[in-house]
Amino acid sequence: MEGELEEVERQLRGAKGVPSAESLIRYLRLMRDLHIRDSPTVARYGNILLRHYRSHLSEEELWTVHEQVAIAALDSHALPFAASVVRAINRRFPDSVRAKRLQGMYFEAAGDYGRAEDVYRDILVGDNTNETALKRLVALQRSQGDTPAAIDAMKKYLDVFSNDKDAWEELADMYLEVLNYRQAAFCMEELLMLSPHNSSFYVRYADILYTIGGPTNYKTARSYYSKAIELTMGGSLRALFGVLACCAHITEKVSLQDARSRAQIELPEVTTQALLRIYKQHAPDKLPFVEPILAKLAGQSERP
Amino acid sequence: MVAVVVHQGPLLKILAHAAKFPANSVNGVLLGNCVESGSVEVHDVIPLCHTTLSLAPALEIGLAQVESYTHITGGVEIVGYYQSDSRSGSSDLSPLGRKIADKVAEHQAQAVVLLLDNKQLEQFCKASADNPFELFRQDGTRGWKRVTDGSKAAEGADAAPSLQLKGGDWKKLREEFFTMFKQLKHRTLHDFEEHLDDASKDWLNKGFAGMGKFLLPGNAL
Repeated sequence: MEGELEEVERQLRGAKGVPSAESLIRYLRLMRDLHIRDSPTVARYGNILLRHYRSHLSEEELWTVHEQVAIAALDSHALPFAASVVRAINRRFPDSVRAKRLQGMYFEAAGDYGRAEDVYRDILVGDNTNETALKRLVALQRSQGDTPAAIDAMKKYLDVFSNDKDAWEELADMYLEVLNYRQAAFCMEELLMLSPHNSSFYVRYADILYTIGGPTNYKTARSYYSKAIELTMGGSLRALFGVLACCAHITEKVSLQDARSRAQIELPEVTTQALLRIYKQHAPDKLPFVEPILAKLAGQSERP
Repeated sequence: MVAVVVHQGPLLKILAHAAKFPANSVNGVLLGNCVESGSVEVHDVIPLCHTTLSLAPALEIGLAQVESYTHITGGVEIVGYYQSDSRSGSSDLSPLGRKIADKVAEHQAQAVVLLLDNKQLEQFCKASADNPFELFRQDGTRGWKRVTDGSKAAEGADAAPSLQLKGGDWKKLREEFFTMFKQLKHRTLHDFEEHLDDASKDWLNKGFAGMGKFLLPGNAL
């Protein structure tokens, strides 16, 4: 199909005057099927097609092309043209959610956030779990820099789509932005349940607990860093340094009798060796800077 | 008026760090010397974080490594902190930024803060402003206070510009920034967090575009 697209593009570029209806229709079809993003070109050829050859298109394809061209025009910020296409779609389908969504996206592109919000809220009145509308409301608040409002909008989205990992990650980031560590930790707990094998979630969760601080959090953070070390087979610098930093904060004595405690005593030493190995292999020039830090951290964790 | 003199190389690195992660807030530390009576000279910067500035571990380990680097190489010390926020609008040092700056000031009482302000960066790129940076210094018990740039003060005011570019050529800094951006050289800068994700990434940025002439004295390691 890519070869076909090249051929059609050549025809379009070589055309004298208005290109043929057939090549324009084929070009837009190929761009839809191949999901290629070249918004300015799609908007340009779509404009020609809709102006000169409406009658060459079936009723169904006519409106598919309208939608395709409207999104391309918004994407390339051709606002007056986008407005005319979006208006046509809304006149033809006054009750369609897809048409309203385009209306909202037009207001967003034009910087009219208030009216965009009205449109999305209106969609939600008819369909209170509409995915696009709920998501656009988050983006809308974020682009205005209102993190607390974006957090509220994201919570509403996650009430419905609670398995969306990207959304939980974004919510955690937003909580960190406003320094709400407890809620950020809660988001990471959800993420750990959704993907129990993603080591970076363990590290992020431990980082949050370490930042909150306190004896219990240092201990929990240490075990999550340890889990991340296990998952990365000792390759995560963040997790290795994290374990040492936690150990340096944990001062209570452990009983030598049980095996788990013995493992905890050996943990700083094993971690230190792993870090030295990584630095020797990948960043030998940094070794002299790292060695004194490791000695200091190990010294702290050996305190009686 | 005590001066803060910054070389072009470190400023270019801060601009590169912000340009590499345009959607994120970034930070790092300033290296240099505190000379007589509170004046500070900045020779280099070490970029630290870009994923989030609000978590302690990466920042703590990064600061520790930089400190150890300055002790071993000698010649320079940590003399300040820089931050560039992803969000435009606020040109003030955020509460979090103040907390981190306090931590840096524990090492060096004369520490200064450079804030790369988005609005001013825009003006800088359009050549309608010379200096995109805001300078903050500790003001006794009142915490971090913006130091008003004398060059922006009313004409005839005798306050010296508080943030000075070594050589004074802001136009050249803009040109170098554009060249770097066009050649995508800002992508070759690595911060400490990137080093944590891939140990071979060099947070000292010894090979950073055109930085050869800004190598530190005693940088022989």
